[in-house]
Amino acid sequence: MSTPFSTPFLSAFLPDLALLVLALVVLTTEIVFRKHQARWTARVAVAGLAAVLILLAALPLPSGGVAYAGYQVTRSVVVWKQLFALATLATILLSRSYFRNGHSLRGALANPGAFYGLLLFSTTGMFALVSARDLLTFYIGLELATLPLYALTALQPRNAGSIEAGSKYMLMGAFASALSLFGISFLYGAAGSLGFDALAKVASAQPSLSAQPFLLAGVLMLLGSLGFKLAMVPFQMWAPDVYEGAPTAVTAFLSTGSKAAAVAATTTLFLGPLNLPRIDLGAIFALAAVLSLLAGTLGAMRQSNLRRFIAYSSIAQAGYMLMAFTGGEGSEAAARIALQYNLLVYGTASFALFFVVSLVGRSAPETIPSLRGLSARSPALAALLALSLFSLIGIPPLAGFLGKFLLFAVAARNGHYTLIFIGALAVALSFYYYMRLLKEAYQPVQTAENRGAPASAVPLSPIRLSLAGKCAAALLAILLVVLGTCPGMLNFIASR
Amino acid sequence: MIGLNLANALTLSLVLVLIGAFGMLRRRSLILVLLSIEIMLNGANLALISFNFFLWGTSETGHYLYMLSIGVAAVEAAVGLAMVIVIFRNTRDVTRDRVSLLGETKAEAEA
Repeated sequence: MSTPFSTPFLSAFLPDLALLVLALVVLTTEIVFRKHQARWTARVAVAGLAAVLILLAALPLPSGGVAYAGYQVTRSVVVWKQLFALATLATILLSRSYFRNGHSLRGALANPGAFYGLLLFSTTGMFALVSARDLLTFYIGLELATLPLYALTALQPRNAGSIEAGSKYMLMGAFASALSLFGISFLYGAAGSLGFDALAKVASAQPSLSAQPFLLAGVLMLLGSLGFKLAMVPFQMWAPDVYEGAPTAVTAFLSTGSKAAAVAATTTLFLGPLNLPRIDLGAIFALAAVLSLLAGTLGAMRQSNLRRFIAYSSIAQAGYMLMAFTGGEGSEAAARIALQYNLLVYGTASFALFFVVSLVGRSAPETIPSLRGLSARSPALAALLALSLFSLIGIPPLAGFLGKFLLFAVAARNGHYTLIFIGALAVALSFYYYMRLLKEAYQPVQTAENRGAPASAVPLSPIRLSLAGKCAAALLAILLVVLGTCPGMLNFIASR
Repeated sequence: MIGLNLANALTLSLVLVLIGAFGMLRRRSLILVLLSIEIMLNGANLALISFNFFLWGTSETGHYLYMLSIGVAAVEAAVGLAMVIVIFRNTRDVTRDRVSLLGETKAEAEA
């Protein structure tokens, strides 16, 4: 426990405060800059986020972390925050071109101040969410992280799909929010306090959970509401529609940043105070993992729309990540590291995929057939797509392999071998649906025309990358290879 | 005569949450769906303050969360109503039938 405004206190909380101030500043940049609003807002947001990342990396933290009232910062929390900030940064870089006309068939985005401001507020919520030390901070963080996303999803009001996705997301989210508040009230009833310490004491002291119906009811309701954020079965129905309707940059953020926040929130609770020793929550997580893997895999196989495909693929990825919660007692540290590594890798691969989608989507609908002939239009882009897909599948030299290996290893600690077998089966099946994208990309265009494909649907002009685009593509490709071949570079996760 | 005790208060809050959930599933009008969400949230809030009142009367933690959650509910209502207004502008109608463009069938049709 440290007192407020001492040095360790400030160095622990400065990044969060800086991010909050940045979000407010970005909201006002639209007013300050009359010309080139989108460009300037993006610049301010990128510079500010870079500063937040530097603060997170550079500020010293006592080995035991810093805690004050409902807020705590530990090494692991700092790693989560770095992941969120990186996802937001990548989303901002990806979104810049969508504010210009003619860069998407869906029309340009407007309101850069609102877009970047809401994105940063959502990130602030995620920061609060992982730093929570009581359910009050947790609940407010969860709401602050998700509420801006509803508005972001509906940020193209002229587009019927965008507003429909936004309203569906909002209604489902509000339902989950009410469920989590109901669950929190039961946990409060059981523990008499909202603090995680009191909760952990009650959770571990009781002889059996059936003697504590309040605790059990609260845990199950919170699990349900977090399952919604994770897009885990049976709470995954919203994901395909929302991913399809939202602006592309928002879809990218939903499938990376928001997914990371949901996983982090589940970690905060279920590897923390609600890590119930008396009841096997692992069995529930294992069941949810199997169902998510099935739903994601079967759904992804029959999609032609790229965004819906990505939604189902992210449901399957959530299934893999749920495996980390089945390790039982003593696996918390390993599970946390596996999840953080996996989310970093999955995020990198996802952004590579979205980068390709955003360039293809300039002149064609975002469907799998639109990828046809990509290798002829831009060999580099097709190679990046291949790297990203191989990493998502988990082919050894690339980063995805180690991520899946770590997750399977956590599940193996508790002897969930059936789960691992099903996971391996899902990996094998994922070969099929990820390879469909690659097959289209490397298919010679000649054969496509011979089959009588409509010529207008296959725009074959070469894709030219700007200098920034080339740099981004190279960086993503290098990351995908380096994260997999020398994960030792990521010692920072283990040592922290 | 029904006594004022924890069991009855919790039953009432559960009934409110269930009414809200039922309304969310059944109502066609988006405005009424938003109202149902408010009823659900208020059911949860009632559980929160009754736990505080009947079980843990020495502190006010439950009331703090209750007040903050009213703020959250207001924000949710604001975002929801903004969307309803946009939907009304686009279609002159605020029933759910207007928001059913996305889905598998359309994805298949595009293929």
